Amino acid sequence: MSDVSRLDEAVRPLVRRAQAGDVEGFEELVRQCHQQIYRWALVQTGDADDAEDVTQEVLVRLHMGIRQFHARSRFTTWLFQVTRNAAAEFHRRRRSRQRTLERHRECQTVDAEFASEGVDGGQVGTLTGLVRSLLKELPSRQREVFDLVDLQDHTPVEVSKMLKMNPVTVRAHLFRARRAMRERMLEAHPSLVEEYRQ
Amino acid sequence: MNCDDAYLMLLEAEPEELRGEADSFLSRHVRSCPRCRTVAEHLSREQERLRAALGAVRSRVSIEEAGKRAAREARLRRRREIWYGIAPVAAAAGLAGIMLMSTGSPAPGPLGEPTVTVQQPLPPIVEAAPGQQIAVFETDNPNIVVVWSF
Repeated sequence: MSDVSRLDEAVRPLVRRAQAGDVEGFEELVRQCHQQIYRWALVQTGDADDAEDVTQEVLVRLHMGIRQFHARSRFTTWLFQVTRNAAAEFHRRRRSRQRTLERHRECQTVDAEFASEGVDGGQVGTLTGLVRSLLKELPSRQREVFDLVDLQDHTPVEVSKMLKMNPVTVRAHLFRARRAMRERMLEAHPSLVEEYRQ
Repeated sequence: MNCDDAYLMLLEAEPEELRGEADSFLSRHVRSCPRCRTVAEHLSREQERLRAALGAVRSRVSIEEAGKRAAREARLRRRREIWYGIAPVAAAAGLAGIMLMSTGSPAPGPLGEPTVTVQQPLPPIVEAAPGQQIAVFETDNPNIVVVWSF
């Protein structure tokens, strides 16, 4: 069972409580979902600070719109859509700002974040590089598909429903993303590739 | 399958193929070729590290704080929405009230200043006795009216 499926099971009673106006139920729901929302937001925005803003917006929308969830789909699927919409709106608002300044700040944030995760010294560089490749270099669709399928264990068919996309297109994005990410994984270890090609 | 082909396929392979667990040409090759297995294992390992790194990312805002902020912001937005719903009705009602109150008073002039209207004297009401004719003459002086009874 994937993390998201487990989350679905865990929040089912909390959703009902929150819908009935139970404040504590809502707070517990936030406690359960916050990490997942932040993770989705991070992958969709590619930036830790932006992900904070999107997460906050999603929580506000969750508070205001929890009664609009009618359990026709899984709660996490609905929440994922809310997060995507919030991220898309966030991007629209941000489009007019200066990209250069943004990128500079984003790189610093990501570096600081992963350097503080307690990963061994030698690995910080490659892991940070990988995360940065994922968040900064991959086009957003590829990033999203790669994260959902390869890192969060959704099937391509599930992802095609979540992203309202043709399954063939999902697979195309997935293969491109895998290729880009794995090339980066091998670039960071040139000796391995050289040895292989001899 | 030779190693060059396998190398290219490893870049797009499913995770279970990288682990040599699938029933495919690539998986069988990975199981039998040490060089390709080394690359496949490296890719699997890196992907797991990436998964762990992203799974470990936490928001800097505490969850309790985030929940409270969300509830507060949601309440504010609801109030704003109610106000936005009421505002046009209130504005229309206010305008109607002003129009009702201003009925009969002089309309503002083109520059906004009230216009001065001259009260016209009402025509005199004169009743003639039966069998008599009456003629009424207005003069230039509005206070003087000549009534001729004959």
